[in-house]
Amino acid sequence: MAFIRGFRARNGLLTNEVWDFTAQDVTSFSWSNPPGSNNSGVCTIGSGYIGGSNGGDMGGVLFAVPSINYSGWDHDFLLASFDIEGYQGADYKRELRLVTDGLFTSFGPSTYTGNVRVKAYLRAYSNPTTYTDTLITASSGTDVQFHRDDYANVHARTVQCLFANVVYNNSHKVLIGIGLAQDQGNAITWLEGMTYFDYNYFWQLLGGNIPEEDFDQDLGPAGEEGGYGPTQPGGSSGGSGGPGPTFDGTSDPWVDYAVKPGIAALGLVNLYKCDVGSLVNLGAELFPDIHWPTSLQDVGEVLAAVSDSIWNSKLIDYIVSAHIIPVDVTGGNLTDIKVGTRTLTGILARPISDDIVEFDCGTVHIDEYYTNFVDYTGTRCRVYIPFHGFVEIKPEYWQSADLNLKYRFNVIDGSFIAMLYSTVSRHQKPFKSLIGQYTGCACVHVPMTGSEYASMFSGMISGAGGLVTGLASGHYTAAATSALALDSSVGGGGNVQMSNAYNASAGFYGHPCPYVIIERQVSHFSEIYNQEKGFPVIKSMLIGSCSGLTICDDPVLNFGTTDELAKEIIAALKEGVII
Amino acid sequence: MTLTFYKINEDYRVLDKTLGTGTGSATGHLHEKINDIKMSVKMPSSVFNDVTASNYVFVDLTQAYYYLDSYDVENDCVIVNLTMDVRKTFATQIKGVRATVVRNQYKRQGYLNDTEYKALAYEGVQYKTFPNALTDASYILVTVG
Repeated sequence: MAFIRGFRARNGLLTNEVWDFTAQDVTSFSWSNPPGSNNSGVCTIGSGYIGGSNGGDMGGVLFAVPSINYSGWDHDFLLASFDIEGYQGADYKRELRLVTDGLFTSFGPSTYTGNVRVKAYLRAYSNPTTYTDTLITASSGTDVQFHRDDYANVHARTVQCLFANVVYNNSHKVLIGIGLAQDQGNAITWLEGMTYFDYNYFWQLLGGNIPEEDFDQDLGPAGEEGGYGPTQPGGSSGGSGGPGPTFDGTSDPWVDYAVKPGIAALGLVNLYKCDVGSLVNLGAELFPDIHWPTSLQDVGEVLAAVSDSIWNSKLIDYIVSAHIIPVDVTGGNLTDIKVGTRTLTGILARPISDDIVEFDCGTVHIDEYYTNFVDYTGTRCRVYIPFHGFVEIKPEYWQSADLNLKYRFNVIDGSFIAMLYSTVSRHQKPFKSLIGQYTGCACVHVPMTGSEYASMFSGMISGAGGLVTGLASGHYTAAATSALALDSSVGGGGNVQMSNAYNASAGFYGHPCPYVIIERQVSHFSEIYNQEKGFPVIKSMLIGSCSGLTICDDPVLNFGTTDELAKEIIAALKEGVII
Repeated sequence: MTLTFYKINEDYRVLDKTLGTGTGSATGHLHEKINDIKMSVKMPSSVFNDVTASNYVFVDLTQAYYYLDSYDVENDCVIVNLTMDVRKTFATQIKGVRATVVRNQYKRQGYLNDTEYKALAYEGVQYKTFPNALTDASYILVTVG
């Protein structure tokens, strides 16, 4: 849970009085007591207590800003939104102030450096749905006051601010606060309720990010084989490992190669993109209706149809496959389908010139969430690849990276290769690379082809022949027997063997859109974790250059004392000292 | 030796503890030296109130700061048992020590594994979809000839 810590200031000086707010606290504001004429009321923000009966009715909340160089007024964020609807009595009004007093590196209002500017918007509601924004800017040391001079027409006010022209770092503290006062006649100074924030402490609040420090840059890589540094390819930040090899972490530029010419280019096979109608017509051509003969005349028609089918049965041998693939294939102009030695006039389809079709699923960008180790040791990413399934990829390839998924389908048989690319730029020199290839088959075969049609037709011929003989000779029993044979051949389940059977790719019934599922640990820690535990550092440094809780390892005492005391001091340093 | 009594409320790990004005002082003599860290000092019982009001002591003879662990009353004397606060006593020297700082309140290398890190039992799950789905379909006929 995000939280905000404030330090109460009295008479312009920071005190050790601390109060914390939760995010929920900050979103609500109320006066806990009706204001009095002597300024003795108190105000609260949520459950947090601000101000006091002695200091007046000022309170403040503090907000951190990301550690980037604001070179202009193009970064703003909501600082606070207060609803100060209503007032207590006609004699009082409430006043909302936005105050800034520059950038400073230590507590105390007299050490300001830099130039923090605040741009504030006064959002005045004339009714609950209509408002106007008035822009007010202020430089360091000044404040923006939103006096509520009239009690009418202003329903609520929202303040936004931004900081400009400042490069923030961990040593900076920024004073920015919302002052709230009541009682026009006794408006107190902003010093009496102002709040400060520790940059490091609050920087996470806006994005949950902790600024990374580059440590021990002074050590640098020394080019010594077997050393521990630099810790990263390219040597962007070494640890305290001391001398180490220098090596070039630059990746080669990625080169996309064209797909090699496929079978279609050879001209030996005909690829067609059909529509449903053309497939139906093709089926009708290949499988003409054969009626049950009831007379000798019918027998002749049946034999004629069978004769066509015999011819067509040979055509079937020239059909390699009929299937559906899950991608739009570009075809040429409509043309008659050619099957083997026969062109089926009037059965139209679009010829396909390339048997490889690419489909780009686009790119997903994933930012680091915590911007710390948790993004790598406690986070998983699974990519769902339609027609293949889930694959897990290493965080190094997807954190702060663009993931791009491309398919290459083989139109001839529906097989595919899905290629997952990653473009990474954080923590290493930028590179793009293919990080995974996944194969599968994404087609549904249409049961149109058959290798055993010949046997089916031989059965038909045999049955029809027997029927003719029986009818001609008056041996109806023999004719009936032959008819049964024909029936068995045609309608009763001739041994039709479908090429590849009805091999419907189950993926066709699955989710068609690739996606990424990221599973992250949910941090849970004390609000004063850094005070209690500290953060990992691993840096060789003078203890005196640290502040706050400092836990050391392997201290080398450079002053004389007894062994017993030395052991005690070393133990104390390992346990931790607060500087 | 002269003992100056203080009442401190700060974390025992604080290097430069704020002592304030002190609750009193007294002269005593070494009762027992257990080791370089621990000793006990005998003082007249007149300082009893100062002793009970304090928890921290500066001893001028050793120029060291001690925690007042406990006290005993014997006859007309108060015996205080002290343990040296090496952090405060050697604060200046410690600041000049170079060491590998493994954890710090403000400095951090966020990409180092934190063994103290705790996470909830459940995970946060985020779903992000690629912009283009395989929603099309083509009927393909492959023939030879």
